[in-house]
Amino acid sequence: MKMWEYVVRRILFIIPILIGVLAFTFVISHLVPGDPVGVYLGRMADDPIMRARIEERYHFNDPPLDQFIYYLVGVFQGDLGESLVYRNRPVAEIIMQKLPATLELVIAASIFAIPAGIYLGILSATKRNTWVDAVSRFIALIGISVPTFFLALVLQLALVSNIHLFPLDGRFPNYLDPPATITGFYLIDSAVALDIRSFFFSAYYLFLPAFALGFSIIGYILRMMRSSMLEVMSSDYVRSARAKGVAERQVIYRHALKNAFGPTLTISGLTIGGAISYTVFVERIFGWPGIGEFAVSSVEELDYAGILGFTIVVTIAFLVANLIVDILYAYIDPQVRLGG
Amino acid sequence: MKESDSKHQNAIIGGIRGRIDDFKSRHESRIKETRYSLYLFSRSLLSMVGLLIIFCVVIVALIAPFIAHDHPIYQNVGGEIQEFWPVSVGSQLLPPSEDYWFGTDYKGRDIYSMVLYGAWKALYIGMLVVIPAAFIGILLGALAGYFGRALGEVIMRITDIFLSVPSLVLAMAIVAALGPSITNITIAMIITWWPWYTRLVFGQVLSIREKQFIEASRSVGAGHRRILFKHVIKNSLSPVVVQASSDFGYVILAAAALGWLGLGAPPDTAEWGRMISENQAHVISAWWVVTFPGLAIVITVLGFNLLGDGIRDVLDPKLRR
Repeated sequence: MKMWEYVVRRILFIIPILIGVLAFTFVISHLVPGDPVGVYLGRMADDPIMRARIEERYHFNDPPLDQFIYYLVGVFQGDLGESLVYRNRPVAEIIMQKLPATLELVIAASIFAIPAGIYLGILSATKRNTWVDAVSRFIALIGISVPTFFLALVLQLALVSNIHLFPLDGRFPNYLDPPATITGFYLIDSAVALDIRSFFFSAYYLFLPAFALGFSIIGYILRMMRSSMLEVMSSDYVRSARAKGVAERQVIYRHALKNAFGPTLTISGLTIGGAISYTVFVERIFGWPGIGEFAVSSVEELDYAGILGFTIVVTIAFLVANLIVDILYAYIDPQVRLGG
Repeated sequence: MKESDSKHQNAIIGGIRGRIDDFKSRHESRIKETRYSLYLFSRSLLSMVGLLIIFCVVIVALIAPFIAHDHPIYQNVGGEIQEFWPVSVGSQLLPPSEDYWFGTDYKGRDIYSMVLYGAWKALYIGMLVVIPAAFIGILLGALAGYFGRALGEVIMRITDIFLSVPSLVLAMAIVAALGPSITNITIAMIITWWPWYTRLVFGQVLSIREKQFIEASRSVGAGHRRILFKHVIKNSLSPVVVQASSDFGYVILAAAALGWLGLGAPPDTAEWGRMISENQAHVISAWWVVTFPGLAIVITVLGFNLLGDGIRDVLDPKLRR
């Protein structure tokens, strides 16, 4: 199979999965035992006027199959319902407006955490049973055992409340105008506008939330990298490379790393999915105006259209992240696309 | 008379002994393996630490009503017994002291007692999620892998769909639809967790299915059911055990997260996630309000992760010898 063929096949593969996910969200939102209209209304479930409006809006009086078709067509046209928390603004519009902030946070977290995890994993495997290994493994264990919301609060306690090293919350200082919107990513917008001060402030406000989000990613990736590296380092071809006198650095980065990289790449895709959902905690605690914060407000009011919209958008983001990872994997390791 | 009695007894004891010997000789290799696994396990310091932590948490969860300083009121809300920690005016946000070991929260309640009472809920959710999820996963994975074809295809495609939504978000959507409660958290997390086991077992079964001992057992006339349960499932269990032991930790973590979002226990319940979210507005002025429930989560999850790592090292044939 050629590379482009693999990519096209992999993209087409997403469509049935997406329809399946939508079918499932449809089942839990429209066919839930009890009172589905009430689920949409959350705390306002007893208001008859609102009930009638919701029944009309989401076609609750039609047969289930028709409801599903309406739902499916609606989602593919970008209709995710209206948010009760945000005074009936369309959920899709709110999410589109808030998405850049979340993506900036997730990408920033991944950009520092994935390489850090890989590097520490290699270090930990090559210096097995030394203090370096012990420290890295300890960091990884803490990373996967600490709830993100607790970590975020601890960071606030340690670095903000006493020594004021970082801003408490928000995305940009209140007393300044944020950079003019081009992409919605403050870092990119201010860089394009050559506004060094805005760039510095954006980075400064981004640092702590991104760290809180990335810490667990470091843990997962470090563990995966360490174990696959250990497996590869004990294989025969690494021994022969050493035997013929290849320098240790070359053995590690040229011979071993290439083969140990696959599983870590797959895990990276999965952890990015985790990171997108953990924005729920980080954005709420650091007052970051993204879709995670929107999801928490929707959950607090049990506003179902908002929760469902968040679920669908996060799922699409997760599918895209894994698509990119799989394409990278196929690029690095030809066996993947030839075997498929 | 006496002689014949003792003879009779001897015969019985001899019979039992014979049976034990018989069992021992028939399962000699398995007994040896188990003993070696236990030996390896007890040699690894970290997994023993993990086991010790879990043991302590279980003990604390069981004896919480006896060692806590303060106790909840139980009240009947709509036919369901609910735990309720009443407000205590005048003792809000007191720092840790001799009376209040972990301080008090913004409603003046003793955090030490609440943390102790929370342990049982965490372990309870862990158990009620991991065991059914593993059970469903093993069954479906084994069916899909063993019979393959259309049935396998259908099961695995459904699994793929569930695996393509991040688990926390999926659980969140399900609980929000069913209504917030601990029972619904458990149901939602079972729905989110089984696909991982299905995929794991599916992969195992695919390789075991082609092994020679399966063919051998088929050639002596064993039926599908016997082969499936006696050979296929039994031999694909060890990665499931590894997965399940660290999953306990992840489930407790996810349950705390759902509790933090307000989707779990009702307000004023001693549940670790809920305690943190209720108190986090006061974190800057009172560090203890989130620190102790948070540490309780970290320590418990850490224990299960250490145990999982230990079991993995022992059961993994590559690292074993």
